[in-house]
Amino acid sequence: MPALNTYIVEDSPVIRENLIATLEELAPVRVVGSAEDEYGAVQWLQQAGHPTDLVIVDIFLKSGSGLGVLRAAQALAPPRRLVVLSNYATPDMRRKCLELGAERVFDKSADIDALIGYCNGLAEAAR
Amino acid sequence: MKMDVITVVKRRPVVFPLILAAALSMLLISEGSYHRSVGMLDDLVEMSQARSAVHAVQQGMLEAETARLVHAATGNAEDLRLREIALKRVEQSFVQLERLHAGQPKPLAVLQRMRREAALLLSDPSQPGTQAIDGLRASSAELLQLEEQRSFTSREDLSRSLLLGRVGVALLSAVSLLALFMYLRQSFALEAQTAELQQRLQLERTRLERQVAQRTEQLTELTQHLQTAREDERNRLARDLHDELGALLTSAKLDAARIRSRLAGSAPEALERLAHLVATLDAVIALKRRITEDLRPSSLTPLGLMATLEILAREFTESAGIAVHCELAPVRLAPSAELVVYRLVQEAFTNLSKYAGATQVWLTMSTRGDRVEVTVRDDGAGFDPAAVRRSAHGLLGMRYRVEAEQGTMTLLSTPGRGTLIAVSLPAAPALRADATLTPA
Repeated sequence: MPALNTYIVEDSPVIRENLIATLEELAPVRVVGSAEDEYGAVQWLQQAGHPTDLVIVDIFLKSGSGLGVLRAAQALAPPRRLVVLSNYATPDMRRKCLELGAERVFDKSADIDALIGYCNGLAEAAR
Repeated sequence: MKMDVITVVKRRPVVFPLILAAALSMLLISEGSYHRSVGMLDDLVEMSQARSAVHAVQQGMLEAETARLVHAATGNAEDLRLREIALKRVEQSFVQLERLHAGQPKPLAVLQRMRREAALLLSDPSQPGTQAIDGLRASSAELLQLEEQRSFTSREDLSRSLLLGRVGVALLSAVSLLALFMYLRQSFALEAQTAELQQRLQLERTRLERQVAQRTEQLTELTQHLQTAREDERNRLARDLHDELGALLTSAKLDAARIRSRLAGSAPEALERLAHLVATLDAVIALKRRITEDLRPSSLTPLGLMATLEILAREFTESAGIAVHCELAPVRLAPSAELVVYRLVQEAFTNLSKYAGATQVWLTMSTRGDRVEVTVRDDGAGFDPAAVRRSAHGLLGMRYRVEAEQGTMTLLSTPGRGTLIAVSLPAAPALRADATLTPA
């Protein structure tokens, strides 16, 4: 099962480390990098030679916004799968994120299992 | 009027008695002088009458003597008759002189002597009366001199009396002038005192007004500071709850997911407990979210004011069952002003669901020139803006916050005819960072 190259944009170090560990343990995911703000994330994604299958984006960041990351990533080639993992997954925010190219929006509290399931599903499909 | 007079007299304890005393004494002096002058004039008239009478006696005696001499020479009886007539006139003059000198011993004595000399002269018509006539003339001269003396004394008295009157008038004039001067001085002093008092009052009033303005300004500043501090504190709390507590809860849920995968199939009992733990975590997460949302509208920053107000209106309709008609246009406001608008609409919604009994609400937001205008109108009970105080505290606080953002707030309400809250705030300069977040 090929590992899913995943980039994580998340400003909380506690969540970031735990999320990386959990995803790598429970799904065929290899975390290739992470950023804690919009600028760092966009910089990384723009650089060539960073093969990424999946970008997991938080909306509230140290600076800037996950929405900005989505907007930038949407315009970049090659296309990556974009998902949002946020503490603020209200219907409006979901709609907004989906408009900006996010495939799924996961709630940080309620949808952890769904996120793991989604990653597993992607890996299955890629196989 | 009577009171006024008493007040005036009381206020001038020196001047009025002075004027009164001067006037009284002048009256006395003037009356005395008048009566004495009149008496002396009468005396002078009597004296001139006496002098005439003395001359009449002399004249009469001479005529009688002349008639006697002519009779002696001619023997004409007519001359004797002429002598009788002259003597009768002399007698009349004597009577007049006695009456005029009644009560004056010295002239009366001289008069007595004159009568005796005249009687001597007349007792014997054959005797030549040259000697007697000389005696009579001397007595007459003496009497005239006495008259002269008396007249002189009278004139002296008269001029002294007139002098007294003159001095009295001069004194009264001086006293009157003095009184007038004192009166004027007191009036001026009183006026100056009144003016000074008024000036002091004016100064005090100005000072108080300045103090009130200063205090009001301080209170406004303090209120603004408190409101800002409160909002800052809420922000900080919301951020801490969201970031720190949220991260810990998410971390716990990630751990739970990992534990569950390891326990899968080996310990069903432990799995059950884990599911319970996850449910508890979810309840804590829900509670945290509710508190956070109440503290700070989390959608404001990422979604912008317009979308946030739409969400607020929708949630309000769901929770309160009141239809909200939104007419919102994207606007540019400073982040702090956006928060004020959000809080204002929130406060208005809370108020009208609690008190107004409204069934419909109209919410508008638009840009007019360089101002952003927001209105909230309802069809509820309304109230008298002048009467309501306590329940309007929230709105009063809103007014301070709106003014702190250089905005103005208008509250229009009539009992039974709903309420309109209108706010005008300065629009932010073009091209702000979050402008990119509003839909193109």
